[in-house]
Amino acid sequence: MECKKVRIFLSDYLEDDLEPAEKESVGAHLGVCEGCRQHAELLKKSWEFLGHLETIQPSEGYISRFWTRISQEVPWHEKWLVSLRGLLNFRKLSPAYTSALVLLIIGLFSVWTFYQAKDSEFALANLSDSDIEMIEYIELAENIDIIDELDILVDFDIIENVAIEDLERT
Amino acid sequence: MFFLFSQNSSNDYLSDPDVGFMLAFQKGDQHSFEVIMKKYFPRLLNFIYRYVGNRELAEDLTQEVFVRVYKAAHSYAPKSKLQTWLYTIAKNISLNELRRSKYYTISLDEPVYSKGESLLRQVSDKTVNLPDKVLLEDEKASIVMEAIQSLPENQRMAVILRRYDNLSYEEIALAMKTSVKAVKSLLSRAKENLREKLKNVL
Repeated sequence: MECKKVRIFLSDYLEDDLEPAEKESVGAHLGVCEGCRQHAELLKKSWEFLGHLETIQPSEGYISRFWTRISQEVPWHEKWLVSLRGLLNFRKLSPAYTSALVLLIIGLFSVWTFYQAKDSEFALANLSDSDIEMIEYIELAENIDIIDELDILVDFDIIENVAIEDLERT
Repeated sequence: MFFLFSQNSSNDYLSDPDVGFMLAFQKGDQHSFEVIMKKYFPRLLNFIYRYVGNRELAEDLTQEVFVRVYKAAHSYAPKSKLQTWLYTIAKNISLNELRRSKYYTISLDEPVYSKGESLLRQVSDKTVNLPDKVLLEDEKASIVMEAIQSLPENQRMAVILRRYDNLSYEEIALAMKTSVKAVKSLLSRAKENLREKLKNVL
């Protein structure tokens, strides 16, 4: 393997990230080539030298400073919504919570219906005699079309007259 | 038992405990957010500090990362490990900051921190035969920071994520939105550049 090609593979070779055949070729070349060997050694040492840059620590109070910034940047209603979204996250509702929510909705609907019925009863209880008579006439008028269709009144009339005549005969 | 919706149990990232904390915060548990902050703030601070070379700026930018995480929490859906997501945000914020100050240059008088104390950078004098000079630890830190800052942006990022944050090639590729092959190429070129920059002190 040529020096130029070996140097392309050197980084992966040092990370032990080469295919076995390639690793063997590079290793064999480094064994006989002083220049590439020194090059590889410098690559390794410079990588290790980076460890002299130490880790820094956050300054004190970084968390409280963060919450201060949030209180300044995020409006109060958005913060409130964060909590509410968590409560009403429909993608993750638990079965028990779901059941409770459904029961609550049914309960509210029942209460609403109950009060609707009570309102109707109250209204009926406070009708005057003339209002009731008007309602009866309205019902009659609504049914007049049906009544007109029947011959029953004629039949009743015949039956009534026959009955009286029979009674007079006897 | 009545279910409205159920969790997507096929999401591989749900096994990541950090994702669990994020989802708990999404449900309103503020303590979970602080757990994430305590774990990742120092790591991201150092990542950004090594990338931009300025401690005060790094603190501001790291805080910006978590402000964005806070604001995005309501629509968070795990598509990667939380660590990868956080590093991606940190990378974007750092890059934007560098490009915002287009003619941003590292002041050679900018303090570099070593052992908790700031110290002035020292430019390596090429006329001095450095291997004969015993370098103090502080000087070494300064030289390392200068060497890292001299790298092109993408090489710098790959080096920091690999050398200091110990991310795998795949994790670096995800954070940098590139391929594993591209990451290996970046690292290879970066190592050559660092070798060239540091050969006088090695």
